[in-house]
Amino acid sequence: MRWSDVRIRLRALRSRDRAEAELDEELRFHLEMEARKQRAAGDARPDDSALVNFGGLEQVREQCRDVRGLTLLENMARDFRYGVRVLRQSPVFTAVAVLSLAIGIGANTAVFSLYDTVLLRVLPVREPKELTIVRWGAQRELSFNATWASGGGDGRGRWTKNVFSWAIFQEMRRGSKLREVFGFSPLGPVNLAVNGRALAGGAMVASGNFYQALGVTTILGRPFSSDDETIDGLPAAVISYRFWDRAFARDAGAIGRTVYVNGKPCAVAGVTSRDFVGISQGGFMRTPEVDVTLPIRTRELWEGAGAAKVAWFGDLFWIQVMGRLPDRTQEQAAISELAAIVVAGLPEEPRRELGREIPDIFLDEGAQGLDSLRSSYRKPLLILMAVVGLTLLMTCVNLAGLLLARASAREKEISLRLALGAGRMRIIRQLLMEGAMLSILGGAAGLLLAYWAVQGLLALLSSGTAPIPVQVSLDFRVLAFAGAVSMLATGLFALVPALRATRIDLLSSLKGDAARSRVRFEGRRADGNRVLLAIQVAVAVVLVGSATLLTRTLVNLRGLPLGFNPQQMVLFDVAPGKNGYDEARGNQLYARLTERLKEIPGVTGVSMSGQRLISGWVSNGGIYPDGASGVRVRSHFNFVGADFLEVMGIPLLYGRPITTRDLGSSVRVAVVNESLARKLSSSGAVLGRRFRWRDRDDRDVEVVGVVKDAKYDRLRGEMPATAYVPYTQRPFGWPQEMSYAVRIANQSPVSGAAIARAVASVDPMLPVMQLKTQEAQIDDTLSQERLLASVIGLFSGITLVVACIGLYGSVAYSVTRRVHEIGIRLALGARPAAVLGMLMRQVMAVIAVGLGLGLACAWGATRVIGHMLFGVQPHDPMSLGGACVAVLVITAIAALLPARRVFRIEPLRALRCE
Amino acid sequence: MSNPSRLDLLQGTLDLLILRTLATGPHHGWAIAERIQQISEDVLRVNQGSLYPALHRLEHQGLIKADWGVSELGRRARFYELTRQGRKQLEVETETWNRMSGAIGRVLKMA
Repeated sequence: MRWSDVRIRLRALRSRDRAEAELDEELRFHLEMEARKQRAAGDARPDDSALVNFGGLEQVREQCRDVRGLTLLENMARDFRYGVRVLRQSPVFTAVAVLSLAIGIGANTAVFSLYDTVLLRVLPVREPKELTIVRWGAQRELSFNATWASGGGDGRGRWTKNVFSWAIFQEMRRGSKLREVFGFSPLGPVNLAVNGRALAGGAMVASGNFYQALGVTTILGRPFSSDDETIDGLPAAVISYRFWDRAFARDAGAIGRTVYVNGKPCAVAGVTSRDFVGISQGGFMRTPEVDVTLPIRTRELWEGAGAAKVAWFGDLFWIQVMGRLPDRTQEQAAISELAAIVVAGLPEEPRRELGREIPDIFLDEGAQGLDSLRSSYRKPLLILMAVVGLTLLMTCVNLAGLLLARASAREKEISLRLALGAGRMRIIRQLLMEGAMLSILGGAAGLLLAYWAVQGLLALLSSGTAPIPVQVSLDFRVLAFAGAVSMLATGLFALVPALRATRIDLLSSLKGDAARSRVRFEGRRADGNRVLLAIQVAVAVVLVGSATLLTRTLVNLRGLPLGFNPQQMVLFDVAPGKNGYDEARGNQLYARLTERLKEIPGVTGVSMSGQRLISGWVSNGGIYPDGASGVRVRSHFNFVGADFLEVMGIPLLYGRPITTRDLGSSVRVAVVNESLARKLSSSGAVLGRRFRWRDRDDRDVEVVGVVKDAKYDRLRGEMPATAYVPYTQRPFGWPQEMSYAVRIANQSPVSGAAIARAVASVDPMLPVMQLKTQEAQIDDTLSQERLLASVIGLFSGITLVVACIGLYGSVAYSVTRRVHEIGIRLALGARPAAVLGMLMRQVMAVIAVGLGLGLACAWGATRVIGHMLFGVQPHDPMSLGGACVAVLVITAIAALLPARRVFRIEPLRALRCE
Repeated sequence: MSNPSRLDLLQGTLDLLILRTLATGPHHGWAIAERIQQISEDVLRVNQGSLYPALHRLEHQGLIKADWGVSELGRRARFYELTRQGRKQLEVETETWNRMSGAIGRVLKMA
């Protein structure tokens, strides 16, 4: 269409009324002339003859409008106004349609946004497709030293590792096939300090070419570019955008400032962009987020003073390697080259073990970075995708049903309009316009819903032990996705009814016996609709059943006796060892911090332990009750401060608890729980009994008390045999980090800030880590169960609502359609209750089929979540039966509401209205 | 229709006849129909229903233009006249028509 055309059309649209008037005048003039001629010819009724000669006046008008070319816009405007009127006439229908579309589109947009961010998005680097992650492996496990490694058996008898030694990495950088080889390694959680303020964070080291090889630039300052770069004598650090925000409040003066990492200074060289969160979106194990990146040669600087010296640049395997492979056909050549480098660089022992075998080299796709986040959220997100996809399908099907029903209810109107000269295309266009209006409204509402849903889902997903440091925004691709879904929905539910409705046999429906044409096309519709409704009920049963099982699992897990009191308890960790504390100064710090915490108003008890309870972590090993030659008894250990048992509320049965005196004493003591007591002595009388940690350790540990059993690392499983030992008497060295447990008086608000102040007063360089209540700590270990329970619960609610909408619509329509028939029945003396029964019997048959189908599917589906369940069987009859009853009651009510209309039908009026 | 001697217009010829009629000067719609009928000695009968859409189409194509004038009876009427483009189009179409009807005539004669 040319621009001038558009202008003419627009002008025409504005002067539409004038054009219409002119056309009218022109045609009127013609008819008058024709009538004059007929009169002259002696016609008795010249006006009528003129009209007859002319043919259909309205058709001619319509054709002229078409020719004028403004009809498209004009008609759209008219269709729009008509649509608004129609939709406003039936607000319930409109609301239901828009709402269910919003649910379908919103849920899909939200989940797709998450899916896109977590599973599909590639790293924001140059040519991400070229990136390759290097791993290696052998036929069996080789013996050498490795740290920060992952891998292991791959289930096929092979063995893989993701780390290399410094020597091998250096050779790889000199290789020619894999380009721009760079290496990195996480430092784990670190103590950071900026401006005298301590912050918990994560750090890693990377080779000097890291940023250049990735093609990542800084938004402020510059990245480091050599393996041991310094600024004014301090190691150069690149900080993340989020850390810049957190520590420097996005101050441009951050460049060159000092950041303390584990108590050692480094200087900020640059700040990376907001998009770049490192080469792993989910960070590394125990380092969910990398705040500071340091040159790789500075690796040994960041170890605590108390830690054993590590030969980072010797034979230790610790460097993860990536590179670029621009030409995938070179893959085999690169693999051979790398394999030769690995063989040459292996220390003696593993090389001997390897023999003549050539190690495997794996070049994994690196475009998305390391995959910790993807692998842990892949399954839940895929399940979510499937569920929301199903929801959208159901909403579309329901809407198609609703619109189809409406289209057939509007059959008379449509026939009338066809007869009055409206073209078939006009009618279809008009129905499509209504559909488009609904889906635009639904899509807009859906986007709004999606925005909230993403925040909600992110909060749900992040509540686990490692939060997701991702920015999920509804980007334009997601918008396009929602748009496509919305268009598809329009196509699905507006076009089909529109085409069907206009295929009505014009004559038969005008003659008033619409019944014939209607029956024909409703018979098909009704069958399909019933099947779809039954399927929806079935899906609802499956989801409600699963949600019930998961909820009961959560209730069971939360209701488990813990053996200690988790209420009114705040936990946090400190790691002075990283900042260079040795045993003497460290123990002093632990003691002083305990005193400071006790001074906080509202605190009623303070203690600490090597492992906080229900964290997923334990210390365990063997003890020797009968001396070096005796049997070894397996036990869990927790190395604790004074009063730990009392503060945690683990009841003492015999003997005495661990006290402050034990901490400073060289007399080795332990308190054991009942399970360990039974293992140590068949009679259970273990007070005064001695055991040794190791066969070569000659010092005895005396059991001075027995406590009741308590949970240790997790909720599931038996309460483990546990020994509580003063932390100062830990057999394998001083504990470099401890977890504090602060008991708080009822209703007393003790803030995290008060705790942070107490820690800062002891050492301002020491950050408070993992501050949370004991109950939140327990909840975190249930994150997967909770996530599934809430998501499935949410969607079971949604599907139930959708199924109810479907049933409501179907029954309402059926009552409207059968008003005449019901009127006859009532006139012939049928009681309204009996008619209601008749209607309900038909609906209940559909619901019953759905329930049966759902139960059968649930039987299979709940086995999938079987491993997550606790204290309830996958086929628990109470849960599945309860779900059936709940779905039955709710859907029956949804069907009953519109069916009640039969009580309001007056036989006489019903008969008259046909 | 009822009169067997009358012919309904061939598809596509209406435009040509309208253009030819307007070559004699401006006319309003009814007059165009009448003139075609008269000149063809009542053989060609214009379907009045298709006349106006055809007029509007030609106007839209820029082959004719319309203006309001006063009819022979003093009533306001919409008069159509040929544009320059319309005149050219008429020549082309007349030529085409002549060639076509001549060819058809020859074929019919020969057979």
